[in-house]
Amino acid sequence: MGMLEELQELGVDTQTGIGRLQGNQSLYEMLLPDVVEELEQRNVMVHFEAQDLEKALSDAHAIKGLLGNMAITSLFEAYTEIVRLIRANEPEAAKNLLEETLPLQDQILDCIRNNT
Amino acid sequence: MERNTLIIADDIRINRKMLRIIFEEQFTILEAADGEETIQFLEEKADEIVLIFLDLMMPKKTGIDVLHYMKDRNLMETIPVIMITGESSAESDVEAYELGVSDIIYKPFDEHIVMRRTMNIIELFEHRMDIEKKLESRTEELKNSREKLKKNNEFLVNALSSVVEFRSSEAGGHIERVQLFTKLILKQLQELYKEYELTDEQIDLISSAAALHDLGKIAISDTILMKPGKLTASEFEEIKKHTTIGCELLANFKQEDSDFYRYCYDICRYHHERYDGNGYPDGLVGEDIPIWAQVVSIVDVFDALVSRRVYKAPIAFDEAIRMIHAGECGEFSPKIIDCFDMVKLDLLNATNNRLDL
Repeated sequence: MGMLEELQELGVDTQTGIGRLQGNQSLYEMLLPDVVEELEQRNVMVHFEAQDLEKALSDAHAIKGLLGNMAITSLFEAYTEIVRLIRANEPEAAKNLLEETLPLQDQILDCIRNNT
Repeated sequence: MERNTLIIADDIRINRKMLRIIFEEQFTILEAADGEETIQFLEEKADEIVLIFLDLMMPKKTGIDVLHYMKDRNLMETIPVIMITGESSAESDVEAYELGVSDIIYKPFDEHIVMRRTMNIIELFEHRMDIEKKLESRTEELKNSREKLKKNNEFLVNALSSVVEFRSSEAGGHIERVQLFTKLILKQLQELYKEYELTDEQIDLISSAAALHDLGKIAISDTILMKPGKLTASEFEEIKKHTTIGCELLANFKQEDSDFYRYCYDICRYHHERYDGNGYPDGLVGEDIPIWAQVVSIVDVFDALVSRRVYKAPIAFDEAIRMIHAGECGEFSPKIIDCFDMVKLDLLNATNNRLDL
């Protein structure tokens, strides 16, 4: 199974993502490692643990934006909800959802790491 | 300097990269990872920037901070901004539009749509700036041609008035001094008596029109005009006609809506009227005499007193001032006397140093 099929199974809408780049698949694949790098640099869980909600919100918001652009839909939806929960002053619920989401996030990042 | 540089301001590298890929063939791209870097680029290269993609939430300084910076420096007039934002919030959208952003594009965005909207906005701005440039240059042309026309008019007015001056054998410079003194007194009136609502433009026109105050003398016979001694009563009646004859001459070229015509007419007709009603030709009283004619009256009297004429030697400056105050040359409005006193020294300087008597 190729990387894109594998990502599709993990909830990534690769067709939409490629479509946004005028159907340029290789460009899409070229941008995927940047997703890994951004998500590695922006560790929202660390901010939750440090109880720095401002940073948690700003990083979760940034991640949400890039996931949306790349049509990484399963994670995008989770981060959208995390951002909403932080804004609604429900940090515990947001942290719990992030904890539930991280295994999927790791799988997606591993898939990209292993294939690029 | 050709404007061909795009700033992409977004703290997410991948977002910057996606926009770079869309536009890098057509534009030079500057990537800014935060608001401070964006402002830095603007400070260094504002003249080259053709458009900015601006993320709302960025570290150090936000997109809104950047917009405030641009607005304070009038950069929003020349550099279109497209706000790139993850989500719509009515509040931030309204603020962004109020600060002058041209468009807001929400993530995730479609390459085609971004490209089309961006090019439309750039073209619109270029077109607008082009129109503004053309308008500016047209305005400049109009200003120049108006200036030229004004000079031509001044030349014609002066040429005409110098004919009168020459025929009257008045010493040179009378017309020039009348124009200058009129302007000096009008400036004082403008300053001290706001009720006359004199504008700079009016002052210029009235001063120019003052040159024609004695236009009607062209029709007065040489024997009277150049008589060295005192005029008889009938000769005086004859010379008084120059006020109405001047108006008749002007009426041949009547311009209904022209302020300049009105000033010329009023000055020709009323510059021998006096505030107490003892002047001629109409015996107008007080403020019924147009203020511009009142100014030329006092100026004409003063210059006649201190100048040599065929019928008299020049009178000393202080004596001329005294005579005017004493009403020996007819009565003037207290406001006019007031302004006359304020410019006395300027009149003395002009009389002694600048203009030939």
